[in-house]
Amino acid sequence: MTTLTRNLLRALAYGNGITAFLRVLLGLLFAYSGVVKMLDPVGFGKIVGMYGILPGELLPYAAVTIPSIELLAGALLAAGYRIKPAALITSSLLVIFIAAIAYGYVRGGRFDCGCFGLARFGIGETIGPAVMARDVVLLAVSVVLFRAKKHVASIEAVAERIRLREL
Amino acid sequence: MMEFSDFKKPVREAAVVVALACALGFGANLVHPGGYRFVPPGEPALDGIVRIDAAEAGIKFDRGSAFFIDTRPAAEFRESGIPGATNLPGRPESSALAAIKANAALFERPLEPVIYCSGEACDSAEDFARVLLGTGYRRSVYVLSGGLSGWQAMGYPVRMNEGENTGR
Repeated sequence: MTTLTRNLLRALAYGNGITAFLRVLLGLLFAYSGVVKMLDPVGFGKIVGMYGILPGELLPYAAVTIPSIELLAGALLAAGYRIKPAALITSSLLVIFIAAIAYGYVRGGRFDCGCFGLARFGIGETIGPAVMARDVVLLAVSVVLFRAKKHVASIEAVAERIRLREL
Repeated sequence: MMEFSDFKKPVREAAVVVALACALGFGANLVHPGGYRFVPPGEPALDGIVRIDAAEAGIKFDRGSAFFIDTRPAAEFRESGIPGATNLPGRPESSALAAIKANAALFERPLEPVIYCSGEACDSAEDFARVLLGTGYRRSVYVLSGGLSGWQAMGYPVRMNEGENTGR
């Protein structure tokens, strides 16, 4: 690894413009996904049921709460407010999603993963290694966001600037 | 490396965010016309018996779409009952079965049977309903869950002694 790439990665991990871009992107992705699922809670509940992890009577509760958690955590990430807890939530969700997809895939399931509702954009989301790999990348981004020290273009940064000015 | 204490605050804040999100989720589901309807699990009517309350039985009574079967002992039935009800024994099973056979014409009519006994705690109406369904009866069998006392409490007509109604 050259010194240049190492420095770039270090700057990214500390928090630069690219980190902010990834944060907004991940946040919008989660928020969008949450809204799409909230518009069709029963449809999402059916997909959750296909994974065969939760007992039937718990499906409605999962179908009602998971999308709104995605929406709120995503919106916080995108806006750059309470980034650490929001990134913690998205990371935890992604870990759960990856585990669920792996479980479903191993059991022989080949259904739409019910992840981000991207099928309408022609992006296939049938459970399998590709979706898992994508979620691992998103998880990596999410962890970087959790650990980053600086968040440019965020409400937190603006609030910090105002606070420093008033000192 | 990250310390455990680095996680404390984010975890606490994340819990608040999740709690708010859950409230948001349930709220959104509530106003969503196609959302889930969370109702307390009632007794499943897997056996084909439909338990109804006095208000629902009252509608059937007023409409004349149902006939009532009183499964209390004959002595109690002589004193009071739902007007027009027929007294048939709910237990033992053999007498219930015999009564159903003897009154087969009753059940062949295009009317819904509503079965009741004295109150909430009595089982003879349920027993009778089960026997009736056991004979291959194809119509829904209704059991008045509050019994005669629930019916009376709602102010529906009750026949006293000499066939006189209490009125509403």
